[in-house]
Amino acid sequence: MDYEVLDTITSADLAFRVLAGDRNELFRKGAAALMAIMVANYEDISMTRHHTIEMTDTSLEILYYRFLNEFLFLRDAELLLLLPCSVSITGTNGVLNLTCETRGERADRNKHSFNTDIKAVTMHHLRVEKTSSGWSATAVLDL
Amino acid sequence: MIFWTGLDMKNSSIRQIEETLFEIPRSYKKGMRVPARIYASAELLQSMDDAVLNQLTNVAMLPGILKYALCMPDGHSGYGFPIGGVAAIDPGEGIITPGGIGFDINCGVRLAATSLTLEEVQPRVKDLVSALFRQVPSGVGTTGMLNLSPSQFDEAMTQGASWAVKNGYSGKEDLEYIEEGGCMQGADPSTVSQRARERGKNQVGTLGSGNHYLEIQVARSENIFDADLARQFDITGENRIYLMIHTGSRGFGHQVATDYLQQFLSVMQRTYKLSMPDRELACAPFDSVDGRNYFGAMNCAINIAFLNRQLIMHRVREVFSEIFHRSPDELGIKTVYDVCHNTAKLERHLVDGREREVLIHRKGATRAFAPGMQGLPEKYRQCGQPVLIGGSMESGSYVLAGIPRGSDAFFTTAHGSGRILSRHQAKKMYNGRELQKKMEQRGIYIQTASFSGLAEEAGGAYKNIDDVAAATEKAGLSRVVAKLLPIGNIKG
Repeated sequence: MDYEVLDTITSADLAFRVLAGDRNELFRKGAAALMAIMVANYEDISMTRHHTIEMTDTSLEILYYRFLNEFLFLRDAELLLLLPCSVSITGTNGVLNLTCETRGERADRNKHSFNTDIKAVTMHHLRVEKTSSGWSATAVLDL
Repeated sequence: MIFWTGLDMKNSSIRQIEETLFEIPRSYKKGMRVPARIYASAELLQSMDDAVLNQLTNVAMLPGILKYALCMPDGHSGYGFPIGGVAAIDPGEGIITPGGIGFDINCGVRLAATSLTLEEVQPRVKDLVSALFRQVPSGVGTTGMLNLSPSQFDEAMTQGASWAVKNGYSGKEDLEYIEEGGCMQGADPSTVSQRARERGKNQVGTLGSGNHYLEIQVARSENIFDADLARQFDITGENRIYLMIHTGSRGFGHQVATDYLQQFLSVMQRTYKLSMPDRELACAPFDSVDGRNYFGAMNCAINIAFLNRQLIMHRVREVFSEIFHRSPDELGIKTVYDVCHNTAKLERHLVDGREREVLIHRKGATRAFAPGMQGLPEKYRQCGQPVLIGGSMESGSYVLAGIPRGSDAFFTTAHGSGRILSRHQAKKMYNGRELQKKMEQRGIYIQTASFSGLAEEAGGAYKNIDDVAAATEKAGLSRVVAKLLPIGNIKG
């Protein structure tokens, strides 16, 4: 999985960074990394259920925070382990609209092997920024 | 005596006030309203990562903070507020911040005594651990033992542990020995989002994952350090068996914190003209609609955590009863005490010689009331509050007692060992399956839902619990009573 753990930010929790050429791919990679951090055999998650995530915000960083947290909400509320398939972020007049198509299945302790429980995505060191070579996003997870 | 330590800045700005008390002055960073103080031995301070000091000095900037931003001996870096951080806030002029409590609201520890001995339990420990692992839902994606209707969930939010007793679960006699009697006043379900309800509804009565555990422990006579206090806490040595439950409010509390962190961030500057150096310290005046709403929702999460531990205790009683073919009463299973780690509470404390109400944020820190204080059960009124410091799954845990000198820290003490290795580093150094085998060879039988998670919790990833307990006592935060050693453990 294409993400980097940043060991200098926090000892109790986990900070990670993803890089991508555009912000749609950045968000998709961020959510995929989140699931890979949590589920050891995330490749074995069957794509039997479909769910569309839609949200709007005026801040790209807060949108990223809310987007990642949505996967944790769906895990707990619907018992769904979802992987992001595609992300589309469009914006007009400072309002950002996100649509993400996800696929996955119900969590099954007999099938899925978990690395760790992620309690929440935090706003500590939360950063989404354009770089000279593309986009970068950093988030700290409360474990 | 005040002198400069030989530490680097982490350290050149740190003054050593006493052997186990260090201070960073207000002048260290623009915006600090009070100095920051760290309770630790020089060795423990040196083991703290630099982010702890940066986070603690940010806490010192919170509007309304009184006296000092405090860090306990087990302090380590978290997000926004360090784990082990304490801030006493003037509720009239100051703020409340979800970052000062954490996402796992009322993550806490319960210690229960039994009348069983090691000699009785050791031959059955594998059966016990296996049965507990089956009967107490743990790990990611498991559901709890309740299917609450919306109105029942509202009742649970306001009643806490007593909801379990009112609805036929065991433990009426436990309630007195839970902080706040297991029912935090001021819980307001109307301030809880639908998302928090949806996220929490499946998880009441689950252990969770990460550093949460259910442990079978033994009190050896040589590990009783204060026999009088130990006796009052029903810890008698002689290889007696104890149980420790470490869990919190699960997804419900996580969502309450997530909701209000976002809400506070949106109103902090626009409505209240407040700014903080870290968004995770987003805050609102306590005496505001936003502040009061969060306080009401957070108290609901405190109660759900109390209920969670009470339900797990019920299951533990059932399992022990089944294995030993004796009733829970015959097995003497009773709560010694149940403490909170992640809360903000209105308490009365002496500040500059005057008793006043203060809002104490404790994140990864334990209340430690001294003898005679209001809020203690009658049994502990003369001896002080039992304090439970959960160690790593390899090292054992400590029982301490609140003491009068703890007033300097608003009667707060350490809550655990404190990490020295990040989870990522620990996973590089330890293999979960090998660790399980080695622990079994040393007499600690463990079952886990995640071997990766087990590696993260290796004893070597934490500070030496003996050092933390010793520094805690030396710093006058609480008195060491006994050490309990693990013989069986389930981890989520």
